[in-house]
Amino acid sequence: MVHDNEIVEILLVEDNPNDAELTMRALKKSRLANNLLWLKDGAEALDYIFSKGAYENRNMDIVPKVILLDLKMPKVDGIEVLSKLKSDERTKVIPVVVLTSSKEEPDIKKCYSLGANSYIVKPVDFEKFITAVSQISLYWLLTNHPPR
Amino acid sequence: MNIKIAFKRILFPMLLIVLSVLGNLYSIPLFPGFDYLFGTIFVQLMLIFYGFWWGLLCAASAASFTILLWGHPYAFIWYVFEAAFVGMLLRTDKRRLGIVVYEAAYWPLIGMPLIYIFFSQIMNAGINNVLIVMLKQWVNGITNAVIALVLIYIAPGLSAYLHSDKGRFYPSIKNILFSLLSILVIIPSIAVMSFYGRYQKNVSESRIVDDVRNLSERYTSAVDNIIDRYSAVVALAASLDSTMNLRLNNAVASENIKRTAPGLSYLFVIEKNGKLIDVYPDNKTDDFIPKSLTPDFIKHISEADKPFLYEFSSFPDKSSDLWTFLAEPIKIKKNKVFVVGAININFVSNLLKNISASNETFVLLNKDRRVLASSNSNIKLFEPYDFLNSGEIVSKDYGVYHFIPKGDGIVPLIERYKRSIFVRETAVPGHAGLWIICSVPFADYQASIYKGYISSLAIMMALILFALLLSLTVSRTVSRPLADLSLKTTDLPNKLLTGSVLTLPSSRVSEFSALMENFRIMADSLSEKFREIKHTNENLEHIVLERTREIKELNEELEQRVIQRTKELEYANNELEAFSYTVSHDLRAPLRAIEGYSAMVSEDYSDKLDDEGRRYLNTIRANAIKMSDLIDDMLSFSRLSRDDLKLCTINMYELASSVVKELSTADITAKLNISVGNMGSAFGDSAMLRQVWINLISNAIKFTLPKADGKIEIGSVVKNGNVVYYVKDNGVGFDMQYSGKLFNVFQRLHSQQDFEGTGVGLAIVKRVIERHGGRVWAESSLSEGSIFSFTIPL
Repeated sequence: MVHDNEIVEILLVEDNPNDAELTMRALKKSRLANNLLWLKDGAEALDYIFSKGAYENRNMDIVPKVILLDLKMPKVDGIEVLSKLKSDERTKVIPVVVLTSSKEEPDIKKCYSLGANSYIVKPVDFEKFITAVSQISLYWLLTNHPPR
Repeated sequence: MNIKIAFKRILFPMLLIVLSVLGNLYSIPLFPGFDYLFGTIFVQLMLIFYGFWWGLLCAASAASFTILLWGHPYAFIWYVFEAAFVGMLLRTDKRRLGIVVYEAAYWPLIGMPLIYIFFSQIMNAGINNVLIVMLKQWVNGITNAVIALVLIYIAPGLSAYLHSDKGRFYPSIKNILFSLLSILVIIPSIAVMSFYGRYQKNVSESRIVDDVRNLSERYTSAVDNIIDRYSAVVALAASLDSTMNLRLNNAVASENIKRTAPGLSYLFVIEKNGKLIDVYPDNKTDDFIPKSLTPDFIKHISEADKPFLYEFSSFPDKSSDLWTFLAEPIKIKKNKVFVVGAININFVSNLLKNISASNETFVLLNKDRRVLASSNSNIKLFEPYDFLNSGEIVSKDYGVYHFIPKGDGIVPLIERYKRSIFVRETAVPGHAGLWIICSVPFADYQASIYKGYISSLAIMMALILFALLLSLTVSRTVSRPLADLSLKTTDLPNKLLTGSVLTLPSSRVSEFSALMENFRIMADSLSEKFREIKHTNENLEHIVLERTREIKELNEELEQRVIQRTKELEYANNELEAFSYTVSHDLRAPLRAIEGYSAMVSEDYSDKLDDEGRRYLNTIRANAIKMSDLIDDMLSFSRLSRDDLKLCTINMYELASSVVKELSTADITAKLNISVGNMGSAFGDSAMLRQVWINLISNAIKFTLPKADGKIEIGSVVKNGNVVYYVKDNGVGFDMQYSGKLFNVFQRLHSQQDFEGTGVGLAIVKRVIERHGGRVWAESSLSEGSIFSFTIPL
């Protein structure tokens, strides 16, 4: 369990530990994995972001630079997390990158209409996977300039 | 303005007015003094065709002529009343055929009372005359109405033309028969009457002429007698005086003269210088003789050598006591002297009056055409006499004239006739210069003639009424069964359908009776047929209802089944959707794990593996990636099968060209010659057809790249009215014996080593084309190339 007010730059919401590991490996390769927090389902992610439940002592003003969000998760799925984040004034500015296996058109449309900032299909090819994750994280952590 | 309308609206009514006036102008005399006028024929036509006001105008125009013709304005009144009466009744009579009846009613109701008032009360005409006028007008009116009606019937074209704006005008058979029969009776009777009237007139006139001739001869001989007698007396006196030298006034002579010549007032003997020698009667002491011996008279007698007449009035105003002198020259003692007898003309008049009846007249004229004597004491004596100046004169046989006086004020023609006379002017033979004008009054004969007229008219009227009744009866006998039949057979089909009993009229006319019988038979058989048809119809209707119900049931069942199937399909579709979703998400994750972890093993532990171990790991990774490609193609195939078609018009040339451009890498462009021919537009789902072109063109590229001089041709041709799109290459081709399997999913004709692929591309092509209702096929010969063709009939 991470400390309540530890600085988190990347929030990874992913139920599949294999995918989480692959993602983190990709980020490590780009030296971006230092301030990463991995949450295993949507419910936990919502608790963290809105400082509720296990995270009620967390300072809500400290927001991650980017959230990497899987869609298919037990309990609360990625779509619901996205919808709650983007409908709240406090959290709607946080960039959300949907990182999922689905190439289904309805999923893509739904995510973008809810306000997702990017939609990445996880490639099966490992090299391509590494490239995709690195590029997206580099962009959101370093290239992008969020509002203060 | 339209000439036809002008003719109908203006010219034709004008023509009718002119004809009505002419009809009165060219009348025919039925009897003397009674003209048959034709004007009302046209007045009636006007009333029928142009209504009340035109009719009134026409009647007034025609009737104004009667003022000239008859000299009184009263006929104008009854003729205008006639038009008004008939016009009013016609207004309520739609078919306008009752004119004969209206005419027949007008005269007894209004016309005859008017005639009585005007003739009898105002113009003081005799009752016989009034009666004749009444009857004549009645006959004239009815006859003209019948003629007008017949004119309408015999010229139905004209009436149809004039009535064209009010609908066609069809006379009924009753009307036609009625008019024909009445005209057949009325016209001949009018003609017979007219001829008989003339004949009667001629007979009575010749009788009158004879009477006048006799009368005039009686007068002339009477005058002759008188003159002869007095001449003889004067001659005797003269001879007495000359031979015996007797005095005229001796007793014997006086007595003789008085006896033989009672009217001889004076007798005297004068010398030619006017010296009175002798005088009779001798007691005459008045100064008549000296006064009468005017120089003119002396001159007359001195020049005479034989007896002559000389008129002398004892008064300067010549109002009475006209004298006539008869002079006889004699010689006494070698001297020429004259014996003169003076006769008072009143005496002569009285003599003449005695020989004629009281109503016969005479006028005696001297050689200067001055009145010497007259039966009429109003005629001034010794005045010039001309009876011709105040009336109309018609010349008859034997120098007889019919003189019709003008009369004072308004006098109807027949009254003038009544006052008219038949006159004859006769010279008294042997007495040059003496004329007798004698006359008999027409009135004496008129009464008996008019009695004849009245009975003729009465017979005529009776004939007309009889003819009308007869024609009505006959026309009814003929027309009633027909009218009945036409009434009964109106709406015949409905009557037969409702099964009402058809009671046809009977007729005593054999043809009609046969017609009725035939009609009855026809109606019966029709009725039977109708019943059959109705029965069949009802049956048919029943069957149709039954069938409709069955079809409806089947339809409902079918609908239920369609709903059921749709539900099942929807369910299957949802399942498939869920399945795809799951596949998309859940099958990839393990594959990614296999690939990822294999990669991590080869990255982190490659130094701990030998070559064989590394090869195994690579094989694992390759298969994981292939598995992922298979999943992608499967999902894509399934999606193209499920998604709705979004139809629009597509420019196939542009679509194929863009696909070629997209697929053409530098390598491909260098090695292959790809051409896109001109293609028309198609109607279909743009995204799906794009996928078709991608799959076909990429296939062609894939199988042509290995060959040198690779060539790919894309285009379309029209075959059997269908547009066939094709992709033709000269690549490796395939064996036609496997062409059937070509489009099946995962079916491949080449090894994975030679050509990569999942075997889903052509299956997708087939599915898309089939969803468009088209057909896809391939022809090839091994190593020579292949043609892939498809049609889109949409």
